[in-house]
Amino acid sequence: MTLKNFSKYARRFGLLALVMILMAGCTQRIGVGWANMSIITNAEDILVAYENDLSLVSRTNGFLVTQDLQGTTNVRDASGVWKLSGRDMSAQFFTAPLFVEYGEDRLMLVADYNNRLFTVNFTQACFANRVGACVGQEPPYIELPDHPLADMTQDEQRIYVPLDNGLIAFNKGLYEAGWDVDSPDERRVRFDETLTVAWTLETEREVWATPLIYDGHVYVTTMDHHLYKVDAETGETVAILKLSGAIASSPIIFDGETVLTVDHPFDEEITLNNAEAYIYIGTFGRQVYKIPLNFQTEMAEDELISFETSNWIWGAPSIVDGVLYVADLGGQVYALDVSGQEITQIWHTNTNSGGIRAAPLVTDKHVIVASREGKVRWLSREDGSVFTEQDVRNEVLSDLLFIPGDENREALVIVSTVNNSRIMVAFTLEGAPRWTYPSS
Amino acid sequence: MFQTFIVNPLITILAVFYSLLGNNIVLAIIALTVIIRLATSPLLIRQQQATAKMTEMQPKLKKLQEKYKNDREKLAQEQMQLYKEAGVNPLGGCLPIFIQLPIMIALYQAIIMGLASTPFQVVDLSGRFLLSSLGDLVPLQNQWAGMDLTLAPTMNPVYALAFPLVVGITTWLQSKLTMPAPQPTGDAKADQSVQITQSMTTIMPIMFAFFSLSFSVGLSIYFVVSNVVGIVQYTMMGKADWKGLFGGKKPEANKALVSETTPSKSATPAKATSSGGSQHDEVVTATPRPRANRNDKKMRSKQ
Repeated sequence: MTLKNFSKYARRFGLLALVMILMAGCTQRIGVGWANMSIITNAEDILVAYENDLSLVSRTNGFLVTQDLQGTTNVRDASGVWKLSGRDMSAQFFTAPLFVEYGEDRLMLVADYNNRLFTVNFTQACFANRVGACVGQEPPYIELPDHPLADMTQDEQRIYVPLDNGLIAFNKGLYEAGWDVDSPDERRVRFDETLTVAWTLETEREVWATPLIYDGHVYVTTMDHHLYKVDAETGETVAILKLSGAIASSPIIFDGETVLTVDHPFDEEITLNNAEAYIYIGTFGRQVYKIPLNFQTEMAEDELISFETSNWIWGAPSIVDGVLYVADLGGQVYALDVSGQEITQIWHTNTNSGGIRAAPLVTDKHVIVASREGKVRWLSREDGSVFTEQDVRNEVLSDLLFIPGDENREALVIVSTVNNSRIMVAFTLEGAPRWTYPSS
Repeated sequence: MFQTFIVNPLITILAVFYSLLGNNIVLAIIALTVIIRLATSPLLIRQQQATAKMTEMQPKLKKLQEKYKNDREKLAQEQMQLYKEAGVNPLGGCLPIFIQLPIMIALYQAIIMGLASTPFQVVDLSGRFLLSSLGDLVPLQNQWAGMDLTLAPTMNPVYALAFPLVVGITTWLQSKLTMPAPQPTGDAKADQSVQITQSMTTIMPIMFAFFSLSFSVGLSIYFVVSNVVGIVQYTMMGKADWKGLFGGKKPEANKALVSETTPSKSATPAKATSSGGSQHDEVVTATPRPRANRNDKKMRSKQ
């Protein structure tokens, strides 16, 4: 009876400590988000926002981009690479930075999970003050009302920042390029007149998707199961629609010919046939909705056209050539015909994976999906059959990034995993691996 | 396995309660905690019974230890023989705990995961519901009385800081109610044990109050409910010592029983209470759990 003879009190403390360790240790990861990838500088480089760092990675070889970094204070090694660390400020980045043009000046805005909006001097890879000068310590920031976890967006007048408690719109403000060099304060004052709060939209739950802006309205999806249509100028809610399940993906608009997504540059004009235009949304309620662009608050859910999937839909749907592609967290991929008054299935494929969070990426030939079990599959657009698959060995949660090719370079598909040693893996459009970042 | 067969069903039950109770997560946590505590009651009772049996055997075991203090092998044989004759499994008090332990840890995890508040957590939650239709409920409401149940208590609102206090008080209350007042024995070793036992009653509430300061408010609710249910359970089992709560005299009958069941000096009340199931129960619930009051007549009569 060794156990019995053992000190009873030591046993008690030991067991209690064991329970506490088990309680804490057995609870799986309690992270926040996943890496966010965006393309900048004319598709030359990939900007990765993940946890404490913002990194600029070359599309060519997956190496950190080297810059002329004179005066930079935030480079962590001597190689002169573009890397911005928020570690000292306990900053965490999960959203894509937003570039705002002010005349000839270009301002980079970065939202930190800890409710801060920083300005960054992109050229020198440093946090900057309001006049764009690098600030080594305690850079100024705009305090946000809550956590930002979705990408910011903009139109001509405003910048929109999705938050855990709604949406906040900032006025871009006026910015004159010709500064009076003799009065630097004047420049600061003028700059400070930018980014003033235009309005806020308070929601019951989080906004985890970038709003879509079209025709003077902001379409906001929320985790409280609602689709908001908000006047972009005043912030007034024009219509609000309750749907089944939380919505964590951005809406898209399709009028039968043209598709508008949140990736569309705001300064490129787009014209839709509003009478034929519908909003498409996937929800945690296992539904893909087709909602009239001019929807009214009074609309009941059963008045809406919808299609039921097997599990929650998180990634935004993609529409190419009139076919809507969507994947769910049950690992199913659907191709849907949305041309009629009903949504009908063209094909559906069970990937038998641990679920697909990321939005499917549609190329000329394939629908590319990446799953939580770490597999990337190239499905035929025709019938959903698997053309090829690659194992990236770690869970994939980030949306895939498509980098278009040109005469000299092939197009790439970038997959991001939750493993810090495989933040990005690049493939060709046919599924051939190219490089991994960080390189092993 | 653990996640699939224990945690995920509990998360599903939590979501079902949430749905049935008007999308109120606090009521859902309370309901789930009560149900689990009630469901594991038979284990608790068995544990108590095993503890009481072991306590009764203490004098005989003590004699054996003295008799065979130089022959460990013989001692083990004789002890096993004694257990066999008495129909007692020496690990009988431990077995229920090893069943309850994973359930309680799973309950803790279910609450943490059910209150998912970041994308990472929500993705994780997506594969855990046994009924996919429950996805309509996500995200579960994690605000209650102006508090974010997923966060540790803060100054905003200030009354959230009452939770660690309530956790501490209920933990102390449970320990105090179910631990008999120490009986000085004159045996230095035993008295030291009594002191340690007493200090546990003080340390545990402080420790759990401290934990509650850093754990989410949702978990504090679980701790409080678990403690309250524990107190009720022990009261119904006749094991809660309400009279001795504030240092009142212990019933004479108890004293008599103490001397009856623990004739040797070393078998003090404190020592006896520290053995077997009572300490395990403390571990199971992750809160300072009451020691079995081995002076309880009802329990003894069952043997």
